[in-house]
Amino acid sequence: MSYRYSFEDLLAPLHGHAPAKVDAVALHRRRVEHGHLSVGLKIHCLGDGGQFSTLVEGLGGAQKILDVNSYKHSHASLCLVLPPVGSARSAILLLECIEHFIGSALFSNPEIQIQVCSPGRLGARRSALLAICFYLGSDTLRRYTLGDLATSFAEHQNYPRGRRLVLYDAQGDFDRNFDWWKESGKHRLVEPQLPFENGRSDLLAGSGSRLDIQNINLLATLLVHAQYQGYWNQLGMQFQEELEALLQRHLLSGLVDAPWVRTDDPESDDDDDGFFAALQELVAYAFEESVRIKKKGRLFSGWHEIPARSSRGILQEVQSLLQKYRSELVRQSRLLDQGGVA
Amino acid sequence: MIRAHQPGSEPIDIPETIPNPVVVPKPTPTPTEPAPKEPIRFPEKVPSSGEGVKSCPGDLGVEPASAVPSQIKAPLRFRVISLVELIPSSPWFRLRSGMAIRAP
Repeated sequence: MSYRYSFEDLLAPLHGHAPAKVDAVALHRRRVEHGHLSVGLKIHCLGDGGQFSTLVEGLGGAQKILDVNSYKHSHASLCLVLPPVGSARSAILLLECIEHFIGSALFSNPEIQIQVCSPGRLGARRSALLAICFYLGSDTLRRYTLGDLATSFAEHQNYPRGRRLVLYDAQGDFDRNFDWWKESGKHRLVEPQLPFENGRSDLLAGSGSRLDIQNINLLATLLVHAQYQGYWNQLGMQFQEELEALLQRHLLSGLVDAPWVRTDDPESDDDDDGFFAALQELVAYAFEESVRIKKKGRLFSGWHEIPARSSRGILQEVQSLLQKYRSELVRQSRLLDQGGVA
Repeated sequence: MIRAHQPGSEPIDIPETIPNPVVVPKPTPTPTEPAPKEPIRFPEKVPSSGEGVKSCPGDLGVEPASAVPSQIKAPLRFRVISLVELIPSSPWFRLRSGMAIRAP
């Protein structure tokens, strides 16, 4: 990720507007929580970007920090790349600090598209699971056009990424200096660097929320650890199995085979349409489910108190799944801190 | 907005985004910015009600009321008690607690 300024350069102007939050971010910038992955952020501004002008000038000007990065959303006037931080909590705080400075919202703002970057390239299947679970677990159900997912790298000569929710890195700068929890027998080995040279799996969350950042960080942690034998390998595999079973119950398991990410594999052709058909099916299913829930709510005011029968609906199930694994990961991590084996 | 059309029916608006009906937003605890500092409030001089015990504001670390700026004087909200009430050996304390008072 190309940004030609230091973390301190960014925090200095923000401090005057949100001193407590900036101090908290500065203090915990590299702190990894419970072995989650570090979090990188890119902010694509679809408006004229005027609200960022003072910040951009303070960091050295557009030529230095924006033009150096040729990657951005096709409809964006600018893409501000933020330095990675150790946790979703710090990432959210950092965005809040910027909100204070620029005086306008970054979360849930249709003019701001948030891209959440996670270290480690996920395989095609796990990329599909990342995108699907992000979509269903978000606090907003979105409809897309393919144009919503177009970036300057969609048809890039060397790094064609297509129009996708999940995007690989383009082998740019990569900050490895975050703890990586590695599995060593039954024990945890904390390594001071990530085991990736420069691989990333990014998710174009669109108009995103705090929950989206937390969810993507949890999902990426579980799936990346499952793929690269991190400490949460077993938990990640278990999560993957449960998510696949959930999709199977809803007759959506075929969606996972669609090309949700464009890999460097020559076999991975430019099948935007194949991906978009799968995404549209998922969107239609989720919207239909939301209508069902609303109808149920009107017919039975206390519908949520009715015991679950065969299925509580895919949206509810995904929420429960995310909550279950979020809690389980933290529980096991706390056990480790108490000296036990999770 | 994306508009869906069906022959013979009114076009309906299909929103591009809707809230996920099963998500209950939970506020994340984050550091709050410090509130503007309020002026420190000192109690006014405590009048002594006990005989033989003189108030001595300087000894208690309380500035005389006259030295406190008028805008930070606060009315007392607690009952004023004298030191006599607090000293177990005082005649008042023994009277109140039912202890016999020995003749001097």
